[in-house]
Amino acid sequence: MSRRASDQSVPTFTWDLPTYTEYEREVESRYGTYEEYEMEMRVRHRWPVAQPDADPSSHVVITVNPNEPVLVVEQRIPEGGRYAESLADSEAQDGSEDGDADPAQEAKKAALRSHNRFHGTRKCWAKYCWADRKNPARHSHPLETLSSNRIKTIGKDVDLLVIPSGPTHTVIRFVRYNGERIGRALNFYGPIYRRIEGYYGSGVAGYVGLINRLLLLSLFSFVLLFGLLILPSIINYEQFQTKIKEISATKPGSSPLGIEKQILYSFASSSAFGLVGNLTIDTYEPYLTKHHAIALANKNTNSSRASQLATAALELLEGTGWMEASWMFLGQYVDQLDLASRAVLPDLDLSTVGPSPYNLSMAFLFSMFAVLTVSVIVLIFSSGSSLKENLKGQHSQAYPFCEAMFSTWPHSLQYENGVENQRMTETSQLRSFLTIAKKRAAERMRKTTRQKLTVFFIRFTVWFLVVAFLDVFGYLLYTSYDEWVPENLERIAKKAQTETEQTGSTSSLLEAERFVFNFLPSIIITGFNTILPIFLNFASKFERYRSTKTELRVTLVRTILLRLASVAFLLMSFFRQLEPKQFTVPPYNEAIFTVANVTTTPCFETYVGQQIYKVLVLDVLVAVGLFAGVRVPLKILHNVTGIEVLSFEFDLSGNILSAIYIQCLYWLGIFFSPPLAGMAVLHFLVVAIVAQLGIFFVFSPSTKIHHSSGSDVFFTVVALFAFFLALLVLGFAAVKVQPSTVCGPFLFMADYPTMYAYFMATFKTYLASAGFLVDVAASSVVLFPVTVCLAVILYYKIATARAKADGIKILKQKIETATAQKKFLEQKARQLKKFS
Amino acid sequence: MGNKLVTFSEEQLEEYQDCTFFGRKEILDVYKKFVNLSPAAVPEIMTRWDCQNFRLSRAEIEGLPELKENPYRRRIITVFSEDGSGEMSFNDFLEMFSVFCERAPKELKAYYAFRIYDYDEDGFLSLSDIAKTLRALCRDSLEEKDRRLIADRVMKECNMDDNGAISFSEFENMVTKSAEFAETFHIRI
Repeated sequence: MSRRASDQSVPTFTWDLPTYTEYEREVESRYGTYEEYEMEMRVRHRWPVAQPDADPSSHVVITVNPNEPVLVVEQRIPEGGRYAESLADSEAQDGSEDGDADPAQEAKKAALRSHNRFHGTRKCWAKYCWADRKNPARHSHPLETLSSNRIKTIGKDVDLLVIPSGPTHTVIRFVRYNGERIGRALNFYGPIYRRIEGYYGSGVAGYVGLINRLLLLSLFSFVLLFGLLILPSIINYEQFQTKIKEISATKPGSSPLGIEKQILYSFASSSAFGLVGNLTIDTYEPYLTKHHAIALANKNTNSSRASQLATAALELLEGTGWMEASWMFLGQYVDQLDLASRAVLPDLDLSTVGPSPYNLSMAFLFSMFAVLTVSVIVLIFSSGSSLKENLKGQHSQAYPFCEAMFSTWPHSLQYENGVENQRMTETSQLRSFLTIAKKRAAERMRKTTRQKLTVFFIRFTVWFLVVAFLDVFGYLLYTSYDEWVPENLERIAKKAQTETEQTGSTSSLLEAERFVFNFLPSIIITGFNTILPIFLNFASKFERYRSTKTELRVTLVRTILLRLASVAFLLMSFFRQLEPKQFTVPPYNEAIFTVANVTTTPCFETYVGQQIYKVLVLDVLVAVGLFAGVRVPLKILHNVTGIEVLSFEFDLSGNILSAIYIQCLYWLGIFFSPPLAGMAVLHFLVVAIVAQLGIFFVFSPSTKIHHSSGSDVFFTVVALFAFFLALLVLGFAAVKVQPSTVCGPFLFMADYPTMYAYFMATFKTYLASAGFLVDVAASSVVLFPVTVCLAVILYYKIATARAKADGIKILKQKIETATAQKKFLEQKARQLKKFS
Repeated sequence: MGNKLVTFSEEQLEEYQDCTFFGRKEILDVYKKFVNLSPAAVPEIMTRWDCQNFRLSRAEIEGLPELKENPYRRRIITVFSEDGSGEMSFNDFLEMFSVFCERAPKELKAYYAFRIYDYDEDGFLSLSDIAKTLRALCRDSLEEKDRRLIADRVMKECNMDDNGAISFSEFENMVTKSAEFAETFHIRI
């Protein structure tokens, strides 16, 4: 049994076993005598023997074997130990089962069976250790290198986890345990998740987990927004209505609606709003829930019930009409109680309509802040561990073969198809490593200038095409928002007007045309988002990248570019719309139509909310439609005839990016339409259902290997980037853009140029002293030193990281020198042996 | 629990919670898996003695859906059965899932992974161990020549002290640097 081994395999630590009498008694109750127990422990854990002369058979013997030209370090293990036992077992497994087992071994096995390692006071994870919280000194293994709450491997056979003691840890354990229970209850796909993992491995299961996380985040956001903003707004409105009714009951000849209009008109006619001068109370049309709904209802009274329903359905898709008059968009969130308490009407006493106890504007800002904070916390925490792991493992490229051999097999796979697929993937990966290793140098040499030029040309062309496509995309979107949609809608509106004058109603063709033009920007966005990734996947195949990994990476970068570009283009078009306009004809949008007699910015919050809503609605419809209308028929075609039109591989990265893109739109959207958070829940539910149906019935596992942990971090970085993009835009909207003066929670705030200014002013009235502190904290006197400080800390951290990397290099070199020295000594020993 | 049959006493569950990485429900889930392997034989009330001494044979354990298709199932069962015979008591079974669960630390997983790949159980991954692992991983889809080349490569990458076999510390060093290891060495319950 000679085996080459280094001296590091010889354990070099010694320790004394604790000798508590109680402890011995406990041990004796299990093993007979303490000596027997100790022997057993030695055998099982290959403990080094404390006294070198006690048992000659268990020594490390270093001999120089004359036949074999290498120094042989042999570790002898006592007879009948684990080593021999396992050897006997493995031999028995190999086939030759010999019945006559050693009676001593049998007795040992019986002794093992008679005790229960989970029984008693044992609280330490290591096998055969009876240490507990009260007596931490009782560990049957060395404790010197043991930190209190971490697992550490000592020697090579002993592993342990010490459950830490103390009240804080009890609380931590309690929270962790119960937190996990809640988490399990909220994980809607627990069992399905396992099946997916069984078929596809952890990557795709991770995608479903991501969808689940986003769904929960949306649910939480919705609950938060509903509690803080939507419900108070509804209550506020209802209270206002009842109070107005009371007032109108006391004053004959007045209606609640009339009083409401008077209140709003008194605001609208004040100079701050800059209404057109000749506007009277009769021509003024307030843009608020009830009035708006009534005005809309009046428009449709003479049409049939079926056409009304059809219009309602269209409006549901477009977010106009009754949707606009509902609580869907920010325009309707007006603090009417507050408005009434400020109004001064000559012939009405509004003193009973006190100011609202709940500041809706502040609630809006706070709930947005809360939602965004929770989002960033979720993002960071979901990436935290994998980010750390990834940073630790950034040198893992040094072991491509070992990695492929020992650490990429997903033990969670449990279905034959998945296992076979994984096996093929791993084999092909190993093979590709081998070819790369063999041919890398040769290939580089062999490539001619002409080939190099061809590859460069192809890649350049593809990149050029991609950029050109993005340009076309941006141009189309921009022009559609800026020219096509308004012009055509204007034309259609005019035509409809003349048609109504002639025949009394508008034709359905005109309605359809209007609908298409309303959706044109969304169609452009969704179309590009659906078609371009297919093109990108297709194009990268011709670019002759050396490995599939690079190919995937390039495609991914392009897809991210596309997604980000679509969000950016969308936002750019919105900001174009914010410029004040004077409308001469009935304009194209309800949100602007109702405020046409206003010269300032129209109700842009509702308008932006509607546009984002439309993009999202179309996204849901296209996702479902593509799946049901294209994927499923193609799959059936494939099953029947064997023709494969599109690849059925599950495009993991594309799906993850699409989920992040959707989430980014929702982050932007909830600012302009709070109930979108609720729609996000439904949206992610649809995405999850479609994904699961696809995973189980349509798609097959990808043949490309997926490095889940690395890409997890990558996708989290993308998600964080998307989040900060959304944050930037929302921050800009809050700090730089004047909120609409005709609608929304900041309706009456003409004194404040922005939401932020209002927030600061209100904050200061609440806390006069804190206001000073905030002023100081926000001043450049403080901000500049803080920035400098942060920069210095950053520099320090980078410097330490570099120093540590250098340290690692030095240590590696040391190991190499040590190995070289060892080899040198071996040689010397051999030479000496020869001469002696 | 009410009128339902109590499989484990409170005390036992407490002990299991302290000694494994599982909560109460998960321990019962593992027990259900254990029962499903041999519904008739596994006792409904698991006393301490049963947990330690009632054993299922290797063939029965191999029927576990989580292991059925695993290329290393034989080694996993051998490593986790207490005496290496392949017979598993409930304690062994629970320990196996505990090591494979998400919360088990990487170091612990590395330790058991090393033992799983150590086919001849001599404390070192030798060339023959690597060849066996490779065979389990790829079956016969790789040629003998390629397999030998890969084994050589693995040895070259990992064997830092150049002694012809990968020791545990070398293996651990490699595995802890691998970002995926903890994620792949994982069986969900």
